[in-house]
Amino acid sequence: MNENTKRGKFLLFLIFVGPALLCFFAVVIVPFLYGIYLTFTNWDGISPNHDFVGFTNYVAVFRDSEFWKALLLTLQYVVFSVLLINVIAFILAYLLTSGVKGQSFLRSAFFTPNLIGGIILGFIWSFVFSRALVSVGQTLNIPLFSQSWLTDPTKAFWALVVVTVWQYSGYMMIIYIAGFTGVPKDVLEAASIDGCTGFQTVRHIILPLMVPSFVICLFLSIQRCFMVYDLNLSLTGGEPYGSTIMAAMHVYQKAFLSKQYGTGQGEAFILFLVVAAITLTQIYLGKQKEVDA
Amino acid sequence: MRKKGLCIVLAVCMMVFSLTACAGTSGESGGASVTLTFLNSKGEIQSALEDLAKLYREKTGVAIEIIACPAGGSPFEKISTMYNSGTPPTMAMLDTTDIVALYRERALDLSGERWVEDGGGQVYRIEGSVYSFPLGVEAKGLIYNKTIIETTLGRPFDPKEINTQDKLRSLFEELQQAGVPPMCLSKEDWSLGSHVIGYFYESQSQELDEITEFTNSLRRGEVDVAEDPRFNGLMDTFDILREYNISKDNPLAADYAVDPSYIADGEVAFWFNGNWAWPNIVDFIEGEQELGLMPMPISNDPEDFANQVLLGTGSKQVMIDKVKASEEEVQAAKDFLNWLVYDPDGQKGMAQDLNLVPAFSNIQLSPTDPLGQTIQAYVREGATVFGPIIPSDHWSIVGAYMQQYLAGKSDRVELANNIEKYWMSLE
Repeated sequence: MNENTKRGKFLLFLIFVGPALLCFFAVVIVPFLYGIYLTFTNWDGISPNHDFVGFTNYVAVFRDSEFWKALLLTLQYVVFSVLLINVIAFILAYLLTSGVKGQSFLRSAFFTPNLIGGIILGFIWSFVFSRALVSVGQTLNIPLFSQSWLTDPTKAFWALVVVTVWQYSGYMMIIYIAGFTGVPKDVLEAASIDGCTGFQTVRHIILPLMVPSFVICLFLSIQRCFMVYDLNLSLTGGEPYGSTIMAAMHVYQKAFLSKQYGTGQGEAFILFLVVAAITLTQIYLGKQKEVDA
Repeated sequence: MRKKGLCIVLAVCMMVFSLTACAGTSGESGGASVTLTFLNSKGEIQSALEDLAKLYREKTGVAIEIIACPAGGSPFEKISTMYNSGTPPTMAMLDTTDIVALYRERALDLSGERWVEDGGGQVYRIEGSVYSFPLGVEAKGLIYNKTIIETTLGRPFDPKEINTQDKLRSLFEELQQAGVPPMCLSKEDWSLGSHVIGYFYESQSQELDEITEFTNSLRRGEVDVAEDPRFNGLMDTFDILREYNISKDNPLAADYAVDPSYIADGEVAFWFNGNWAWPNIVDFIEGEQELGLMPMPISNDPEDFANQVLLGTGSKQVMIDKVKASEEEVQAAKDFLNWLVYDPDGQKGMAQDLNLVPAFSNIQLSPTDPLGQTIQAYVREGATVFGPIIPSDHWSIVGAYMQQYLAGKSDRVELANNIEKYWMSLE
């Protein structure tokens, strides 16, 4: 095979990318397209035949007020979580690249929560919120903790945010650390010779050079927070009284619990559109801000 | 050149691997005898079922592979996936609502089976035909700790005497005065939504047809729930349970991991639950504690049937696939169900190893736990009611309304309106 002909290049390309592409098509693209097709049918998830019903499912989606409530709650959750994750991750990364003692140990310590799966994490934290904090709160007489956070809709929402931030900020911190170490030393030196204060260096030199890290971190955190299901399920399970059901959980319940498969699938597609629109806009805007050193 | 060759070999290997990985793990069976598959949706009996399947293989040569439902996943989702991938199990253990959703296209008509006669009232019929095998009766009620009640009150306790709300309240009051918290009320949505509210439908009549008619009129919006005497009776009882609840101050903080320890240690006298909770309770029992299950009174009339019978929540139902299963497999599956009912080994397996309350009157063996034994006694007297078929998302949605009520965030009228709305949203 000759690497220089067009055909040769294509074959080489196929050898390396082919297997992965094949799997990607089989398990992501085909089900995705088929799923969209199913939203136009009355299939119940199990029946051998189904009829084409046009936009009936989408009408049902727009009438399903619980879904929009869940989506709105997810939006709030995403806003708070993404902001906190990235602010904390950036600060951690800044501190852990400035040469503190035990730097590498602290880096891995902050990264560890990310290695625990969402389900387990949820169970651990539900114990923390409903028992550990409660007993601390009652002993030390702190009203904020003396009742379980998971029994109050607002506090349960914040419990979700806290755990998400705890889980992801270490991961984003690693990406920011890579960004910090990628800032060329000569530029920093030049800045300090020109008399920049620490804050000015960060604001005018480091931040613009780290835009690619921000783009990636924002994308990852937005996408993960929108799709949250495992943590939602194991930490609050939608409780108290269904007030913390996020979009993904609502979709699952609609499709498999209420057995309204078409509606659930339609809601999943709408969720996809929302996430795709937000992340693509964010990447597009972010890319425009990128500069070269 | 050699490097390139290696690359190609590796790439081809990867491709072949990825293709075979897609093909899955079929073609394992072969052999002379049939291999059946059985979808199990009761996680707690998985290993006991596997042992039973092993025993069945030793006796008959027919192998049964027990497939577990993933913990926390819905059995209906699992069976949907299995049907869609063209590998349905020969037998599937499901909830009655799932059978109703599936019977037309997937389930084999079992009306001609011998066990239909012996199953009596526990066999569920759809349009006059039988599509599923009742695997063990389950019933709910008030679980009581007889030991603690008798030592606290200093007199014998007969659960059958507590057949009105007033008697329940005065017993609770007496226990409270004596320093024993009377009641533990779990906040789980399935317990509140499916089991507590279930009484509202089940107590309407002793005939399943009439209950179904009642739920149909709920769907049509013809029932004024807030004015319904059964609803109000039930909520009066629920208010008593709520008032004497051990976690009254913050009822939603009740923890299902701790609740069974209360009743097992005698820290409370009563727990609202059913016989499925026994495996959770038994881990905490130390020393001699006598436990039992009694009907929960929901009116003040001692003659009211609802105060005397255990209301069932039905049972897990086993259906046989009629789409993919060969004639041979169908026959083998039917034989297995018959073995459970009529063979001494099968009977022992069902009643004692799986610890299920048999639905069949010919089985003399008793389950090993006291709650199951109580239910069996009620079944023999004919004093259980087959629960109505409530929609599959009822426990979750109505459960959330009940949690709201339990936490004092809504009142009885709001709850009633929400229940009405739920039923009317079902088309």
